[in-house]
This record gives sequence, C-alpha cells and structure tokens, in this order.
Amino acid sequence: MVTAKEFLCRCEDITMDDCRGAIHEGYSCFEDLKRFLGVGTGPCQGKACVSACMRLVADERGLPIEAVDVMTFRPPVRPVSFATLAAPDQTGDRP
Amino acid sequence: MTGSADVPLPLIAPQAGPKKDRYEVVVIGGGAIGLAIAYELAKLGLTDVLVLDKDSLVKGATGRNGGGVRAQWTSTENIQLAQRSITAFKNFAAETGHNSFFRQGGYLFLTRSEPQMQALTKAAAFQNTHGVRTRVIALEEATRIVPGLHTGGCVGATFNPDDAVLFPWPLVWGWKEAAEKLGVEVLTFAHATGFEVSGSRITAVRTNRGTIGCTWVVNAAGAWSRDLARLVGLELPVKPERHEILVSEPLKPFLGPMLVDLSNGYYVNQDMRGELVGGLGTHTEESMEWHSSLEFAREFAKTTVRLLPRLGPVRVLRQWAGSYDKTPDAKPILGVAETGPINLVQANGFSGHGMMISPMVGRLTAQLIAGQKTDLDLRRFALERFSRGELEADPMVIG
Ligand SMILES: Cc1cc2nc3c(=O)[nH]c(=O)nc-3n(C[C@H](O)[C@H](O)[C@H](O)COP(=O)(O)OP(=O)(O)OC[C@H]3O[C@@H](n4cnc5c(N)ncnc54)[C@H](O)[C@@H]3O)c2cc1C
Ligand code: FES
Repeated sequence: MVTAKEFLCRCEDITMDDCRGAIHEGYSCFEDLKRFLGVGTGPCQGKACVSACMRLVADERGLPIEAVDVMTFRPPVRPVSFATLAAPDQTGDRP
Repeated sequence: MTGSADVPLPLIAPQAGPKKDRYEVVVIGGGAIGLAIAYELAKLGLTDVLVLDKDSLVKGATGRNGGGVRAQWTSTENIQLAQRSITAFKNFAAETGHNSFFRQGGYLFLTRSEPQMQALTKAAAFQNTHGVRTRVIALEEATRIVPGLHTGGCVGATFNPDDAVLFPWPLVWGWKEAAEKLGVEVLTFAHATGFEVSGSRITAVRTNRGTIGCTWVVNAAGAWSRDLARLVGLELPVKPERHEILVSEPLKPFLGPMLVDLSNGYYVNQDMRGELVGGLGTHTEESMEWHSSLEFAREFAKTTVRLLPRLGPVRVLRQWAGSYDKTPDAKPILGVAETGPINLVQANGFSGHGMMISPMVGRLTAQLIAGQKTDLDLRRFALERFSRGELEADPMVIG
C-alpha cells in the first residue's frame, strides 16, 4: 500500500514519520529534533512548522503542549540581504 | 561537602534517572569534548561511564560553532592536536554511522598588514616542519581558489588545502550513539551542582537527579567549567567570552575553503547544506549572555560585500551567539591539576577551537584515565603552566 507523505517541515523536507521515528529513537524534545533532523532551520525559520512539531512531540509523548520546549526564535525576523545590512546609515531591512 | 539547591526536572526531560548510583567515570558536559572522551574511554574498554548534561544536547558551544577544522596554527601543541583530529574526522562517519559533512576545502587566510604577512610566512614554514601543507600564495591564486574574491587592500595570503569544515551537530549525536552502543550512559537535564569530597578525592557528584558515586570525574563543562571547578575550590583561568555568528540562505556550492580576513577576524565557509556560515573576531565580550546584535550583522555584511561583492543580494537567515571558554594562552587545560582533587580531570579552556581538536582531546583524556601512556605529553596542557609563567600564546586565534 502506498501512503501519501505528510510533510511536517517543508523547507527541510522532513515528514511526520521522520519526526515520529526520531522521537521514539530518543530525540524527544523540540530542541533535539531541531538539531537532529533540522526541523525549523529552513528559509522560513520554523514559522510554518514549529507548532506542528511541538504538537507531535506532545501527542507522541503524552505530554500537555505547555510542557514541550520551543526553539529560540532568532533575528532577523525576515531574511535580510548582505547588501541591505552593509548599506550606510540604515538600521534595518526596509522593504 | 559543597553544592547548591536542586534544579527542577522539566516534564520534557527523559524522566528515568541514572541506572546505577556509582560509575567508574562521570563526565560532566555532553558537548563534543565530553562525548568524545566517553566514546574513547569505551573504545579502550572502560564502559562504566556516565555523561551528564544539564540541558538537552548540542546546546552549548558545540551546537553554536562555525564548523572550522584547521591545522594552520603557530604552536606545536595546537598543530599536533588538530592534525591528528583531522585524521579522526575522516573516519567519523564509518565509525559512528553519522555523517558529519566533513569537507576538506582548505583554509585561506588573507592579511592586510605587512608585519602580519611576515608572521604568516614564518608560521607556514613552521607548519611545514610538522607536515602541514600550508603555502604562502599570491593574491591572484587566492582569487582562483575563491572565484569573485576582491583582494583590494590585502597584502598576501596563506592556504592549506587539508584544512576543512564540518557540521557540528552530527558530531554530538554520532559520538553519543556510538558510546551508548558500547555501554556508556548519557543523561540529559542532569545538572551537576556539587561534589562530595573525602581527603584528596571526589567521591560523588551531586546532581538534581541524585548523588552519583565515582572513581573519576571529568570537567568538560565548556564555558561553565570555571564555575564547576569552583564547587571544589579550584580556580581555572577560563573566561567565558561571547561570540556571534550567522547563517545565510543556501546557495549552490561555490566556496571551497574557509575564508578568513585577519584584519577583523572575519571567517566564512559554505556548509554542505549550501548555507554560508560565518563570524567575526570583533563584538566579543566576557559574558554567558547570548544576545545577537545588529552591529555584528552589519560588520559581517560589510566585510562580506567587500571581499565578495556578488554576495550582496544573498540573505541572512539567522544569527545567534555562544561563549568561548578562553584561557590566557588560547590552549586548553587538560589532565589533573596539582592543586585540585586527584581524580578530577580537566578538559576545558578551548578558546574557540575545541570542536576541531575534540577527537584528540577525547583520546588523550581517555588514555590518561585508563592509565595508559598518552599519545602526546599532557604536561604541556597542565593548569600549572599559568602559575609557572610558562606561557606561549598562539596568535592564530580568530573569530
Ligand atoms: C560562535 C562560535 C564559533 C566557534 N567556531 C569554532 C570553529 O569554527 N571550530 C572549532 O573547532 N571550534 C569553534 N568554536 C569553539 C567550539 O564550539 C568549542 O570549543 C567546543 O564546542 C567545546 O566543546 P565542549 O564540549 O567543551 O563545550 P560545550 O559544547 O559547551 O559543552 C559543555 C556542556 O556542559 C554542560 N554543562 C555545563 N555545566 C554543567 C553542569 N554543572 N552539569 C551538567 N552539565 C553541565 C553544558 O550544558 C554543555 O552542553 C566556536 C565557538 C563559538 C561560540
Ligand atoms: S517549514 Fe520548517 S523551517 Fe520552514
């Protein structure tokens, strides 16, 4: 039988099953999954996948979602080019 | 008895505590250093080993570093540790089943000052005597090695084709799993908070998961190692120093070597995911606080577009910071300190280059504990060199 792949983190090509498998191998908190599979490290920096991954950890481990660790969101909020950052007299990304 | 109050155990932590109440060796710190030591101990047949980390793994410096591995140093100690570690990294995937994405694209150092060029030339000759294939190269050759490189303002360069980059995260998982397979236990969210001492020995490590008896203790606590040693009244000249770093969006492979501009300690490499990863030797301070600054991102970006103007449109995805564990001579502290407990082994003070020498530090420390002759003389790394004033700094520290 062929099952459709359900993606958890599209940026990094990680499926729900990849993640489930890792949780059961002992990569059992969000920070582990980030550093083992790369969840949340793609171009969207986790905006599209972090909550889903936390939910999965909670479900697989039978924990309340509040108990699951969340990754540290880091700057910049949106990707900023080297040219913008290097421009004189400008303090941030202006679209 | 020394120690502090218990640290609560979060629900997300593995709830089971240590399997036993006593181990031959308790390693404090589950970064590249602590886990390399545990793995090498197990390879020597010492498998009654517990590794403790106060957090989940890969959250210390090992999870935050630039991935650079090089033998271009100016002290015999650093060259020997790095050279032998490069050989070990080549076998890492075969030994552990984890791909560290080790890639030997070389390290290219650029300098903008004549006196520094003379120093680099001398360093290259010295490295050659150790079998490191560093060459002084013309700026035209640098431009061939790094297409699109602008060398205006530079006076010269050196290149060692055998230097490398790797992805630090899999190192930790690889050593952890390989060590566990051999019988080592790794316990996360286990905070060492004190020691029980009898005479000149530590008899047990106090943790938030109970008191654990031991024959040997290893201080592999990275930037926290000074605090840990203080729990037994031992003072290490190790200072935490905050360093920033960033990563770009992924690009097609174009950058072979780690590129270094010595004028501000700028370094950048392209990892196997295609991202550019890099940092600076500036914007550092003594701190365990890891905020990211716009000033850092801007200076990094300015240096990037000065050296590689065509990277202007490339976007920064993420920046972060971590702490070096810095010693006055930028060399690690290894072995048992004369003034501390006789069963407390130091493996800290890596001054921003601990990951690249972790295989060799693991091996030497394991040999010491197993009572074997160590491959290199550990006395050169003794804590006592600081009080005896036998310091010879290695000026090739960057980032
Ligand atoms: C921005 C940056 C860039 C770098 N670039 C490079 C590079 O290119 N190449 C290179 O080789 N090196 C680089 N380094 C240095 C390198 O990361 C470190 O030297 C190396 O990772 C040290 O490993 P470690 O295991 O000693 O420390 P860590 O990885 O920090 O591990 C120490 C561990 O000890 C744990 N711990 C601390 N106190 C306790 C306690 N009381 N109880 C239990 N656990 C405890 C911590 O949680 C931590 O996990 C860089 C560092 C930084 C910050
Ligand atoms: S979907 Fe996971 S990082 Fe973008």
